Amino acid sequence: MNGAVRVENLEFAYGPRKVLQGVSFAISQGESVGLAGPNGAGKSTLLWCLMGLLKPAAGRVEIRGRPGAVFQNPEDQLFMPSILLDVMLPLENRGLPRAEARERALAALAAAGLEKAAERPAHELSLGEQKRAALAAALALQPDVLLLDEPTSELDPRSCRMLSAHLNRLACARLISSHHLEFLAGTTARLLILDEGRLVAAGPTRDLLSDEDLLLRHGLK
Amino acid sequence: MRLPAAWAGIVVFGAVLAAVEILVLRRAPFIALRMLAVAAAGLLLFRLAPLARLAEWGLARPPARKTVLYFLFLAHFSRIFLEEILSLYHAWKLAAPNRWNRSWGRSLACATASLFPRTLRRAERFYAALLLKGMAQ
Repeated sequence: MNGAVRVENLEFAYGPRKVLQGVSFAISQGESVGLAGPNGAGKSTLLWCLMGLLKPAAGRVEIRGRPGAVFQNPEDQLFMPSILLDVMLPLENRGLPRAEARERALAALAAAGLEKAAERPAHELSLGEQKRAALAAALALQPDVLLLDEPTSELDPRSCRMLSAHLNRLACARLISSHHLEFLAGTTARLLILDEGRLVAAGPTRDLLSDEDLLLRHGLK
Repeated sequence: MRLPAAWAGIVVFGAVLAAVEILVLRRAPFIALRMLAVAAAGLLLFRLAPLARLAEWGLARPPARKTVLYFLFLAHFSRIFLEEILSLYHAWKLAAPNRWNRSWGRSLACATASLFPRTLRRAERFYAALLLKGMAQ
């Protein structure tokens, strides 16, 4: 496989309800791809399949290298007494010595603009800071592919801008699932539109977002 | 204050559990009492102990690491549980403002029952996060 992600004819069902049907796409290394679709389209399920947390009923998912992920609710990912320990934990689990893990975690938090909050627990931070802390924890692992589920949900415009700037500085491949079309326009070059478990459109983000009919048809406007 | 409302939920949950033990299992409500005792002890520990320092100290020592992580996960999940109780309590209070009628009791029963699937969903996402952090395999 040359790219970072390859998905072929992916199928997934919750009992009798088919959630993903024949989904195929690829992401090149370093490419940033958006994933849009109405509620219940299967976006989160697709991300969970890519993370390896759900086993597809059929089809193939290949990820080159290590994936990193940020959930919609960052509180589910941050549970240590300080965000510094949250970022250090996966590094230590992968065998990094404590001092090195601490150094890398501090660098990741500084890159996210959170160096002053490093010793604070996640529940004392604003949602925007929590999202950036979860992103820092994912990035500290130096993932080859970053998967983000609704990174802007409940964020104010300033936090969205900060997150967008942070994401645009990254070199790894990214798949960003969001309803926030303006955010996707600013952070992704290519867009996938999912509706009722099927991939209904794929192409340059600007082109798809300027197609009013397409957006209306699939509940994005 | 968030805590008293959350505690009201724990007490209601404990009372339901006690009722099940007494009426269905026909025995003294040991599980409910134990749950309340653990919740009270946990709260006391949380308030009195410098947990962040203790956790950092324990995590740096391999023999204590697993135990410290276990208690951290337990504390995190307890917080999730309290949050869910609190949000359900608020939703229930808004939905059933008139007390002591039939819908008041029914809505309380439904809110208490919906606590389980909601908490399970949060637990599932928490477990997924543990997997991604290289734990829980």
